[in-house]
Amino acid sequence: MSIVSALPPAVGIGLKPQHYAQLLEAATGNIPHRPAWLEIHPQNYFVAGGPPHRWLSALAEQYPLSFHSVGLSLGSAEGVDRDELNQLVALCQRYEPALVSDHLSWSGNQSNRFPDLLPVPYTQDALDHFCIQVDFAQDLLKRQILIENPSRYLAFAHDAMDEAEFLHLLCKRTGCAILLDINNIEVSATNLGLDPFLMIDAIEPHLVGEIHLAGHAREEHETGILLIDDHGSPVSDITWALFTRFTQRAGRRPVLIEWDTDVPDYPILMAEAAKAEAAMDDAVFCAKQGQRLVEA
Amino acid sequence: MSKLEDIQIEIMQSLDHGPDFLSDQLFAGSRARVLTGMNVHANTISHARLVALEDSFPRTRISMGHARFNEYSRMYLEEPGPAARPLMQIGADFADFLGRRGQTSTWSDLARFEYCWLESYHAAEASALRLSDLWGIAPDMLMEITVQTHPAASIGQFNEKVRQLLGQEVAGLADAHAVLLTRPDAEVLVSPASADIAAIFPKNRTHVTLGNLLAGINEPEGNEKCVPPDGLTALVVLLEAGALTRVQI
Repeated sequence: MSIVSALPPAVGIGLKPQHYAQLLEAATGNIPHRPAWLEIHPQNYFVAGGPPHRWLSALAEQYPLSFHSVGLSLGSAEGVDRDELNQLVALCQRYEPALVSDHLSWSGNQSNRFPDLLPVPYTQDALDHFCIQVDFAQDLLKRQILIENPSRYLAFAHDAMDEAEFLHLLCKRTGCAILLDINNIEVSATNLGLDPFLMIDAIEPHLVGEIHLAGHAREEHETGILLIDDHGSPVSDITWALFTRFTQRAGRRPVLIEWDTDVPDYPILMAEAAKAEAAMDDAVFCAKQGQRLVEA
Repeated sequence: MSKLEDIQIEIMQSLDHGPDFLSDQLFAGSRARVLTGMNVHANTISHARLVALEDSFPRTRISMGHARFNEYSRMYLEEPGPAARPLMQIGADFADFLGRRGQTSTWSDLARFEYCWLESYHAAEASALRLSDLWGIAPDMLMEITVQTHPAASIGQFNEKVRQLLGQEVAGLADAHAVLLTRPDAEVLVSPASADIAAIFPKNRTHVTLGNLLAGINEPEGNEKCVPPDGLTALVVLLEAGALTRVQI
């Protein structure tokens, strides 16, 4: 299986309306710090026209795009949300993104849409169902998609395999690839009492087509620490360490700085992107020298 | 029913109706820890829906006050319907809901205006027919030009308090018969509209010639060729606001 990606193996950022103008300025060199590519949530553009499409059209002429869907609900027992999928197909035809991705999750059904990424049990039954939905989506989109590992707050009592095994079998059976969210690894591992370094080591690098880096919120409960995947702060130290450890094995990949709430000013966001670029450079360099930067 | 369906029904019921619907066998870990995890999902869902309503109705929220807006938003989300919509359209019935709940027509009218504004903002692109496009066309040919409403154009009547509120931002709205929304270029324009403008505004995006558009307004009986001066003024306002597109037959 090979990953079909036109995204450069460099650092991009999530597109936010407050940065539209600066990104166009950066594209023409009027201001410093240009991201290598941009990621959007296509659901924000499921409208016929208006200013969001005008901006996106202008930016698409300057930057490669990645479409990170949050609404296909691929894990729903009812099957993929056909309305969402049809709109995604139309948007892909309009903008021809370099990559398209969604999540290993479900979001309710036609009569009750939950704007959230709900967990899928890691069972053979769920894997079979998920594979059918990914096949269907890829056939309609006429392209490979990437599936993101979720941030988990709950583990099913009857899970029959771990997350890496589920994802690897999914990729093998459907030809999809993995969008590896390293913050989600830290969140899930902390919430479920797992070792994040073992989790990241279990991921086969050749299946990973894109990496996400983000921050999370931390809460202390009587039941223990709870990390919440809110994308509202800088990337944590542990996630940076996991990223370095993975890129030492994997080499360069398209990496996204994902910051969706309390969105910072453009220079702060780009400073985080520069940090990711430097970390990836260091990791790849050290890997070539045979050095390890991060021990478990 | 498959195992996966059973699991998802149980999760949806517990998210909608509370932890009594959640068995101890579904998730691993202590009951307390499982409920902590379920709370994260419940809060995420509730927060996303409430924020979508806040983003759709910023003026209504200010007018009602945040606490009351939040209270009515929560009641609205309990109604059948909103939860089945994508977040972008979650507020489609909010104005009607406020009206049914006996709230002042100001709040429901203001919410209705804001949803019209949002529809205009997201409407399809189209070239507006402007007055300058008609220069040089013979008068008798002008009346044969076929038009329809621009996808982003709409007209509505709103109560006096809403017009006064909007009138603080747009001159002439406070005393206007109706409010015209258009988007000839990138941004939505809000303009006052007279009764004549409302009368000739094409309904339901039907195709109509400029001649028939003007015939729809107070022409004297049996004198259909005569174009009343007010009709021409109204047409000029519609054209300048970008409310019409030309239809090539």
